[in-house]
Amino acid sequence: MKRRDFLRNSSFATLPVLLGGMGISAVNKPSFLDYISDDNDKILVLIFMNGGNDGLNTIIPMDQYGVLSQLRPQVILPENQLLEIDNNNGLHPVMSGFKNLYDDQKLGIVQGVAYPDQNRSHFRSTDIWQTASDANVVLDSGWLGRYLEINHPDYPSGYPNPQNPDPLALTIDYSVSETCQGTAANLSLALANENSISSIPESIQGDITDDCYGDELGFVIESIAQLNQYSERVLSVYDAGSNKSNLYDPGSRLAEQLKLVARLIDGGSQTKVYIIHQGGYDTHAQQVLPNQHEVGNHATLLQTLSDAIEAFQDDIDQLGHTERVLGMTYSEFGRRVRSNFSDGTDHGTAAPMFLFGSCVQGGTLGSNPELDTGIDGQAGVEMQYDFRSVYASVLMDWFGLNESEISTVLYKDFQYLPILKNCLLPVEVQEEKLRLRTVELYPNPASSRVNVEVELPKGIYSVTVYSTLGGLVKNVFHRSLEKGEHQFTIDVSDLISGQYVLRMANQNDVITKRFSVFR
Amino acid sequence: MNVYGHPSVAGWKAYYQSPAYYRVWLNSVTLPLRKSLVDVLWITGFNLGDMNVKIDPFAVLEWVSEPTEINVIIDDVSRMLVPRPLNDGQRAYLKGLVLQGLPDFEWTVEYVDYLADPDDPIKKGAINLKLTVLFYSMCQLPEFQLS
Repeated sequence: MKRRDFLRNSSFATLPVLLGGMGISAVNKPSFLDYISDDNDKILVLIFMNGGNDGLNTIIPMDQYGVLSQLRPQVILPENQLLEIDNNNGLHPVMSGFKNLYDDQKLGIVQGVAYPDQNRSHFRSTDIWQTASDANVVLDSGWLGRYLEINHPDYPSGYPNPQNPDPLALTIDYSVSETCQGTAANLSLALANENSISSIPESIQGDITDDCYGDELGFVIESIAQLNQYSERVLSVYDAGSNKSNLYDPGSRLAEQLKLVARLIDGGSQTKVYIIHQGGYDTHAQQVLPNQHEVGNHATLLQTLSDAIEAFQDDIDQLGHTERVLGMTYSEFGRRVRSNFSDGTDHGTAAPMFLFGSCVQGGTLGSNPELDTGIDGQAGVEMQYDFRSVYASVLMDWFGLNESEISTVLYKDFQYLPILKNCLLPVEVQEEKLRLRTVELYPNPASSRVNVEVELPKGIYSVTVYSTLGGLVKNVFHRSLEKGEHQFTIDVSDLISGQYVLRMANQNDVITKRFSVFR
Repeated sequence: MNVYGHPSVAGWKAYYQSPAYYRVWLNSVTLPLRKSLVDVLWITGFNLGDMNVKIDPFAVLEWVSEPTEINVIIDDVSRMLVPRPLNDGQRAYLKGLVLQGLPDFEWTVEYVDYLADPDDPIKKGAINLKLTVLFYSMCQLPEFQLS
């Protein structure tokens, strides 16, 4: 085994989520968040890349290019056309929109996202991602449904109401998303486009009997009544809002959907979650053109995605909602490392997730997959992060949930990932622009514990330890600290000998300090 | 909505699939679409080549045991369109759409008058309009979505 492999495998990268990482339950919720109302004003736009996105042709590990071109000769992208970003990665040549966002620190990439015991069925894996279950557990409710039910346990009864005039979530589609399925009802409303919603006449009500028929009749009557109230509101919000970006492609359904979302946000909608679905990623065949791999079905999809998101972000920025909107993509699985003989790729394992918005921690989290020419034909990309760690971190850092609320949504403890900046901070705290002061670390090298002494301005801090390869090995804490001197101790007894980087970040700044572990 | 424009590789959700079961078919997009289907069937019709096709309410009336009685029309046709008998309030509402507050026998008078002279376009038109409004409104009851 190569030393590098040993380091990776023994520390963190491919092990189950809690090994080497800090659980969400150990992360303190910043105390001042208690003053923010239960429903903050943050909005999540979730884009489902349905079909299983080929992550290795989305973000190409350029340090593996030679091996990749042997493993996937049918689909490998031309090296000189890749859009190079940091960490030895290149984006697909059509993703100039993502490249621009990445360069602006408005795009974050999480590498190798999956779950243990990957299921390669579209249906089952989609359910797993949408319900946030373990691979061997079947859940009936969606993760966002459970999140929304924390503050809206009685939904749909009594909704809409003056405090909640807008749909809690909108699926920009013909049917509602199961991510928003709650225990009693789906907490999202479907809106195919601004013309799809209209009121339905209501008349004298029939008898709601105490049986299944009565339950179903009650559901229809309630749905119609709710639709009539929401439709009026959605249309008035739509009329009140506008779009400012001229980057939207009018021929792109995805761009039109995102444009609608931006307009509703601008019109004052309090809807917290928008769900959009982009199908077509099941590229078993004709993923690329045989003689021109940078063109083909996959390229078209990625370009549509990248262009639409760039336009949306431009719009949101111009409209002035930049710190309220976070976007995230997911796909039910990645594809295999080896390409097939139909110029495509088959169902695999992990894939990257993208987060976009001005509050994301730009850059790439996780390391590039290490590949060798001997790998199995069935092999997918190895998992580095559980998708529920991403969900948990979004719930905490975006929606401001505390650890017990997160465990009611996700049932278990997951690794905290530093994927967002501290946009939750009230504005006055953010403007208190102060630099981080010096950090003292001792002993260095350390064998079991590292003591840290640091003088800091007030803020919310994420303290993490990275390996020199760039992988997160330890979350120390994520919490609010008062101005002044602070001391804490990091347990490094579980880290193997080697070089590490301590990273402390607040909303304005980041400071890193190298140290060694030696035994 | 296109039947073949299925939302994902998983296709349309089956009515027996948890957690939403058939309720996934009734939402803020499909309810207006279902309403517009009812509009097409009874009011606007759809075009088949040069022909505009819609339901002929007189043909529906052939299924009714006693078409001279407005209450019988409502009961017989609602048995076809909704799963359970309507309550008194609903029947009164539907009858009100036809009679606008006139006594029941006015339907009998008008209908018998039409039967005596079925080719008279004015008499036929009046009956056609009343029946269309009645049946169309039945199809807009929430109960119709359960049939």
